[in-house]
Amino acid sequence: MSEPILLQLQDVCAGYGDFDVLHDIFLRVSQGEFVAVVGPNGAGKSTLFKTISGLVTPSGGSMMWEGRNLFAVPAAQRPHLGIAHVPEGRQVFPTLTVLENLEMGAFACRDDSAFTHNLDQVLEWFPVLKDRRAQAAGTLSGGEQQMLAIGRGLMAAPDILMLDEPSMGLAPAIADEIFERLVAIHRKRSLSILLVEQRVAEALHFADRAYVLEAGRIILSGAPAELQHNDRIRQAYLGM
Amino acid sequence: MNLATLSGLKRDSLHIGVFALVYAVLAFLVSNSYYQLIMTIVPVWAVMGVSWNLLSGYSGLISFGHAAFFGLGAYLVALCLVVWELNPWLTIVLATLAGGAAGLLVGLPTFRLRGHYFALAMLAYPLALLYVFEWLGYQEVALPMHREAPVLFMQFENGRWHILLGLALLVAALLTSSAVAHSRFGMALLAIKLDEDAAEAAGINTLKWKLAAITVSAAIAGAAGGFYAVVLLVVTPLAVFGMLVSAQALIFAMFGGVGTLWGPVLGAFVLVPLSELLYARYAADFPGIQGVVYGIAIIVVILFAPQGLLLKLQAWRKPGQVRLLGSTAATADFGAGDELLVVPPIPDENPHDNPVLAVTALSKAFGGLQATNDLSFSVRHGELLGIIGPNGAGKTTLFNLLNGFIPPDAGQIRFHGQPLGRQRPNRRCALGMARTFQVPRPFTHLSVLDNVVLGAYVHADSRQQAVRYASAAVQLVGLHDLHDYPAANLTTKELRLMELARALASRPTLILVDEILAGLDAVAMQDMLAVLRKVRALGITVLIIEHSMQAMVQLVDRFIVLDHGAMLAEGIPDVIVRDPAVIEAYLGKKWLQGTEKRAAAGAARTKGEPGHE
Amino acid sequence: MDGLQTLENILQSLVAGVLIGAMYGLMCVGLTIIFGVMRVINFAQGEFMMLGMYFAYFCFAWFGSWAFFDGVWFPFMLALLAGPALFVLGMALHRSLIHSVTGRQASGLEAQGHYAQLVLTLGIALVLQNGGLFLFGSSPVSVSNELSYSAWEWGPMVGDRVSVFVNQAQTIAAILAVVVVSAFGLLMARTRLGKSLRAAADNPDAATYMGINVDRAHRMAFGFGVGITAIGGGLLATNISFQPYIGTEYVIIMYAGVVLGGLGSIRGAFLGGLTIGILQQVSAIILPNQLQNTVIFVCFLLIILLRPQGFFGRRERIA
Repeated sequence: MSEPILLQLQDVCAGYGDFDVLHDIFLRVSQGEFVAVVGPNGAGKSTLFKTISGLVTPSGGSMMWEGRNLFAVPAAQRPHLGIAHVPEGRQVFPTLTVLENLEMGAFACRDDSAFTHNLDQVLEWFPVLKDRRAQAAGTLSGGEQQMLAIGRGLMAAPDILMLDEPSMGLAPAIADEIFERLVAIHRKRSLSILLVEQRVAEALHFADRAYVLEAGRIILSGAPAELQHNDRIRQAYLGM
Repeated sequence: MNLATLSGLKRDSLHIGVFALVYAVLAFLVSNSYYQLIMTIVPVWAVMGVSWNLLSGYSGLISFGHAAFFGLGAYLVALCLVVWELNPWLTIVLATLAGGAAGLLVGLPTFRLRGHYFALAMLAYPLALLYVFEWLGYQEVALPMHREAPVLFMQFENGRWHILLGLALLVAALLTSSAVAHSRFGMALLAIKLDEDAAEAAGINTLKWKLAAITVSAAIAGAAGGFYAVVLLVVTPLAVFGMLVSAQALIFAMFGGVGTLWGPVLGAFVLVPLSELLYARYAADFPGIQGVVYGIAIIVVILFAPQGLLLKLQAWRKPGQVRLLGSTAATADFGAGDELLVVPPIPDENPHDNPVLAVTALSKAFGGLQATNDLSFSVRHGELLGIIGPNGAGKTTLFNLLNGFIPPDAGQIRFHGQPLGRQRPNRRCALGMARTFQVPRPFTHLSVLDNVVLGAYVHADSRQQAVRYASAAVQLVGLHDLHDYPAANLTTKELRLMELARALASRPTLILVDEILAGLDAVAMQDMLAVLRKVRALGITVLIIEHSMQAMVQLVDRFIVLDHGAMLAEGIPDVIVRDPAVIEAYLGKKWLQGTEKRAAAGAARTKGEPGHE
Repeated sequence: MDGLQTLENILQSLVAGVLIGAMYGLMCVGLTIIFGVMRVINFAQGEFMMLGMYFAYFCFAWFGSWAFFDGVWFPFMLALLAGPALFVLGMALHRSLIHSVTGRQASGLEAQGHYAQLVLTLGIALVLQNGGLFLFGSSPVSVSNELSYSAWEWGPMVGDRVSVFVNQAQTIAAILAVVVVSAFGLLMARTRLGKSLRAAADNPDAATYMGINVDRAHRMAFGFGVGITAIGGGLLATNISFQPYIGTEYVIIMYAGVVLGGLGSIRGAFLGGLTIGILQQVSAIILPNQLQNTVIFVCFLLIILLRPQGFFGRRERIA
């Protein structure tokens, strides 16, 4: 792999207050890769993303983005570097319209002139958003909100799109649809994706590489083919 | 009254006595009438500080309206003197009672409000009264002189008597404050301050204690106001109902130390003479200097020492140590056995037929999201039932419905056969339903044992009994070595165990356990499972929520699997784990398809090999 | 006869109520912005209103005699200028004092950030109030010119008797109030700045993920809130006389308007303030002077006890 490394975490420990949730995390995403992080609930997946985005301050280790130290960059600045975060539970702005939500996504876009182009693209990928352009985001269904959240992330024309459990609370059919769009976008744009998912098989099916997180530690990593039917994962999830 | 309260009270009484003696001696040494006036005013404001502290310092409900009670007391005494010539000895007592009544009256509607609404309402009361009294024509009520009976009318020639009366009032207020702090009343207020929801779930009747607090607090403020009128001999609406009065009550307690006995005294003794002296020297040139000084004091304190001077000093001397509140003179009693925690069954009820808990068609929606969807199930006596489901499946909502924190949209919950209706969480706890929270809610500044004792009060007749129950619970969960540690210093696992102990101390018949295993490593998880098995062995019914099957399969008798708020599957672990719907919900459809493919391939291979049957 | 007189009184009060209510509405909008974006109850809002009034007063006193500035429009222009002046003060206050007890830092404080915010703004209120007493003196002043004393007559109407006098200064002030609220509403709805403020109010975490600096958003919101209320104060100054303690009186009036309209809603706040103004003026017909404000306090208490989410605006988010 001669692609440049975008994001690199080494020995990262992080948590809330005195309790560390993450221990010695190592993780790498190269340009154009689709990387998945899977693990049961409580494993620390959301904490991982919050740490990368800066809402949680790590207690140790190092985080590099395109070669520069991410620790030194304040949270509100990181999106401006090209890191887009689609949060767990969608977290749209409920009283803003769909269009305004997308405009907010473009806040961190480094190229203001590309706004219209990006908007057209997003609406093309998610046509349902075009129909509901002027609707308050809080009135959308779960699946529509998820598409909005992803579209919002894409509006910033990021270098990496981080998605935190996009299928959560969605009916499987809709979740599948969303995954398929994501993959299409990934292929078309060579956009790097870091995906956190509880549903292992879906995540492994689409990813280039995956990490397995359990109780705050990476216990497995590798290509999906190796991990796909690994009993260790099944054990982590189902207990037998 | 019990031993622990008495000993704490005795200690404080000694300090109060010494303080009073010193102050009285000082009073006799001072002959300048202006300084005598200051020496009288200072205790009055200290009393206001103590009054504020008793409500807001101890319970965390910040009142910006104590002037209402102060002013009512002042006007009562003044008007009674003017209109009916009633002497202040009588009317100050009346002012105390009136203040208390006003407090109760104010508390009843206002405590239904939370947070900022409460603060705004409290701000409005004295201001409204200010206008009313102005309208009534009482812009300035001067107390008439009664030289013929100075003692009867508290109009002494010698200013020193006023000082002593003020001192007496302060001593009374401090004794009250101390008695409250060291009693169950004080512990309940502390629990409310640290975490009102957890207190409610532990069986503490938060409304009752809040009303008691505001009544006592307002009574003290009324007395202070009444005496203030006697000392100043003139009452105007702005002077007794104005914002400055409420602000002063607050700042003295905050400056000296919120929630401590002596904090308000310290605050008053430092700030009142300071502002009075500044006023005397500079008021002519700098009108409003008092207000500016108090304002700056408030700003500085809240930014740099929000806990107040006393606690800042203590933190400075012993850095890093968590301050332990409440009376940790609790004598732990670890001799008693686990049986203490078991409630003997009601003879009539046949435990093996009727379910402990029966849920019928329970539904709850938030906005467009259906969090609980027509859920029905029942829990048998002594069962350990696991409720499981992926994230967002509505598990915690279910517990909040069972526990009484939120009302259902539809459906019914029957506990021991009785429908629960709209009963509040503390009521349900008293009936035997205890709960732990997903994010532990320790009372951080209390010791482990005291945290648990708070949960024991609901069924204990005395503090001693509460301590016994609590000790048994702490021992059961294995925390007896840590029983006097501040809760803030515990690890996640220990906090969870403490939560469990607090729930057990209320001697429940049913415990709702909310994600107690989340984030624990393998060893801690096994420890926790062992404790849960012990609980079950006592005959207590356990309903446990978890998202991870991994540990639960080793623990539960039966599973209920939720998805999107509705029941997905129900049965024993062996069956559930192989249920296709469950696998799909957890690992995804593709995993299921993969499993089926492998199963088919495996079966085909087995068939082909000879000798296998 | 009596009936017509009563009718005239009622109409007169309604008109005065609407005009004054517009100014109250503007002040309420300022207050609601601060709450809506920052979730802060600012006890000092009345004092910022007072500062706006005195800003207008002093500029009028110092420059009013200059030939260029002696038109009747000058006091109103000063009222508008009070906005930017207090905006700057508000931002400075936020950066120096307020930001340490709100926003993300608040979660680290003991006894919830709520308490600290309330107490801090109380302290600021005391300092401003009494500092004002020292700087400005206690005698009531006002910023009036001939417009304050002239009125248009509307009528006579019914039977040659009923006439309503519409005060000219009040009318101009009310119109300006509406203009300012509309302009601000447009700013919040249409501009990138406004949208980012609304986003920060809706969901601070998500806003941070978008690259919005929430702390800076709060600072701007505080500045706007203070500035807008100051404009309202400046406009009101052309109508009433005031002294440094006037803030306390009006802070409850403002909160009454804001909760009536639903905390956090701009449209609701304006309508709420308008309603309070009408209530105040109409109650003057039956109640003595001092009790007018008591009526408002009682209304305020009733609203927060019975319907805390208000009547006009969007529902406050359940946090």
